[in-house]
Amino acid sequence: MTNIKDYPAIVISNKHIDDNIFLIELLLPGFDGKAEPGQFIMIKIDETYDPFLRRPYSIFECKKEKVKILIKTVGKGSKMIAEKKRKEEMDILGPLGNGFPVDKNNYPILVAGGMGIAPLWFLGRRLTKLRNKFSIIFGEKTTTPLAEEIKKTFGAKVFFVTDDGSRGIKLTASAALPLILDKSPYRKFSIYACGPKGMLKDVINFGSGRNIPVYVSLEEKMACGIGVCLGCSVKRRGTDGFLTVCRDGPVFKGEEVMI
Amino acid sequence: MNIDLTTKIGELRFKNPVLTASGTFGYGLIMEEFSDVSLLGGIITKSITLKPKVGNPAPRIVETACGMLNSIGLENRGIDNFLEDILPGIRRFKTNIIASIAGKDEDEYGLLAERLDRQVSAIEVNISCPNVKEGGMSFGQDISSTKRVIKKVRMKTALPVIVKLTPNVTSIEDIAKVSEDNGADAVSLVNTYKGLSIDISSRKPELGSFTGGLSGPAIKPLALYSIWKVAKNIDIPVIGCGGIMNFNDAIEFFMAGASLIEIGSATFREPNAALKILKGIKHFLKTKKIKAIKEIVGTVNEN
Ligand SMILES: Cc1cc2nc3c(=O)[nH]c(=O)nc-3n(C[C@H](O)[C@H](O)[C@H](O)COP(=O)(O)OP(=O)(O)OC[C@H]3O[C@@H](n4cnc5c(N)ncnc54)[C@H](O)[C@@H]3O)c2cc1C
Ligand SMILES: Cc1cc2nc3c(=O)[nH]c(=O)nc-3n(C[C@H](O)[C@H](O)[C@H](O)COP(=O)(O)O)c2cc1C
Ligand code: FES
Repeated sequence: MTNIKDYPAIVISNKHIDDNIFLIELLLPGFDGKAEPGQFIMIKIDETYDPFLRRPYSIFECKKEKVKILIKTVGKGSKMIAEKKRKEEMDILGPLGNGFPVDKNNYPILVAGGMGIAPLWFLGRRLTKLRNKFSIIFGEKTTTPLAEEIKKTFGAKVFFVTDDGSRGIKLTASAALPLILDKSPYRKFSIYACGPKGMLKDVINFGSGRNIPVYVSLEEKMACGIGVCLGCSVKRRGTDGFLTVCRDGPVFKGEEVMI
Repeated sequence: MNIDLTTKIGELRFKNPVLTASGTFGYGLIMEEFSDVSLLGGIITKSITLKPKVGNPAPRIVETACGMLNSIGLENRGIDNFLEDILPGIRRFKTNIIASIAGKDEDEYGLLAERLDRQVSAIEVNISCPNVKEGGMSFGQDISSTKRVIKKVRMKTALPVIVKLTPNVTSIEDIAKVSEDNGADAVSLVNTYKGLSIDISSRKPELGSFTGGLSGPAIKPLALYSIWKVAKNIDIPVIGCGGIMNFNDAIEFFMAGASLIEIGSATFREPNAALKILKGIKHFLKTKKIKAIKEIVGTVNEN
């Protein structure tokens, strides 16, 4: 049985992290807290029909009935969500999709580009809880207060890169991968990536070149979020068929998909 | 008070008039995780083609004011897969299973009907998909090809045949009449309205295949008007569809002349939408002391 449900959620807090980035904590009454890093929720913003569709957001953290999301305002829907205040309501459908599988024998390297940190933050927290060692590469165009939050929580595990050199090394997140790997005392790795498509492509290529398993979390426009509308399809590599991001993903093995 | 929600298409009985629209409910299997599918009057499958179909390039959906455009392009695994892998798993649903079919030409429609004969409760003939190059909506926009497709399907199956109409025509009531005259047991309408959305910074269409089909609350008044026109022009049952979001919308469709309704995009906002609407219909009839759903069909006051 799945624990997917439509929860009448209540905003507990809404913290302004940066100009356009908000951390919202929600109370999902009755939710058992069972969710995997990489899974997401669909938010029904309000009872009017504009915006018409729900909006997908990665689970950023979750503890029993409390679920956090990290949201960047990019358009109408995200702005309306970011304006929600304490005690306001939104319907939350979830937890949806498949999360990141953890290979116990491999050293995890998390590669996040900008807002791609959202599902990887949850993975980092999970790995910390499991007492697993891991590294994070966090890349941004230019540094933001988000990097500060990441540093506070994950400390020395994080390797910062920026396009303009404003924090860490002036490099792309994918180009930082060999630097970390070549210095590492570990032999076997798994790479977990979320971020812009270009970055994901580079990470997948890097992984296949070195025979390292890569797991990517993808984004596509969604209507249903559960696999019935076929709106969120991505090309399946090696066939002329498609996979749905919402139900077959959003986490895929790098070699599974064409992006 | 016992309320009679039953209705019929040909000899096929429906325990209530609420169906789920093709392409918005999968085959019922995923939806089973969210709601009791067996409580519905029926489920209509995603349109099935003869050969597997991969569908259109992404993006396949874009939101518009109070609705959405889609250009899925009939992605499905074909009739063999449906009969062998899907149907055995959904036969146990205690409701009518209606297979939606889409062909490239009338022979394909005929073959599909033949394969499905005696396998499902009824067939919905999709001659109204705006998102495919061959066949699709072009059949439903032309009187003589509508006629040919229905005749062919009628020859190949004894199952009730429902013809799904496109609103992208001048007189939908004429296409409905042709459907009735050539052996359709019911018509369903509307499929989506063809539409376009442009990203002004790139000057590119927002959908991967340029145009798409509009659905949702944005089309409700247009759909309702089509149903009203069609219902006056034919004697077979009309299945109403297009932007039905709640029981109030549903009752409007019955009053305009629909004997049954299909719930489409509403399911995307709420997986349980169809059952909630069914509950609302029952409640409405009860409070108005109306004993049977049939009593309100086509009762809009035109004076
Ligand atoms: C599985 C999944 C997880 C996600 N997790 C997060 C997250 O943790 N934090 C976060 O800030 N965002 C996340 N997103 C993206 C987020 O859903 C979109 O930014 C949001 O839906 C945009 O809505 P809007 O109304 O503000 O924008 P719109 O006005 O609809 O569009 C504005 C811009 O956003 C783009 N956009 C719209 N929908 C999506 C989408 N589904 N995916 C990607 N881009 C989109 C549009 O192409 C457009 O450029 C996730 C998306 C998916 C599919
Ligand atoms: C994502 C999507 C996929 C659809 N796929 C099909 C299809 O395969 N066959 C079909 O006959 N209609 C299809 N339709 C049309 C619906 O069945 C329905 O006629 C239309 O959406 C109008 O109803 P609504 O406004 O309630 O959604 C699809 C609609 C949507 C939104
Ligand atoms: S969003 Fe509907 S199938 Fe993925």
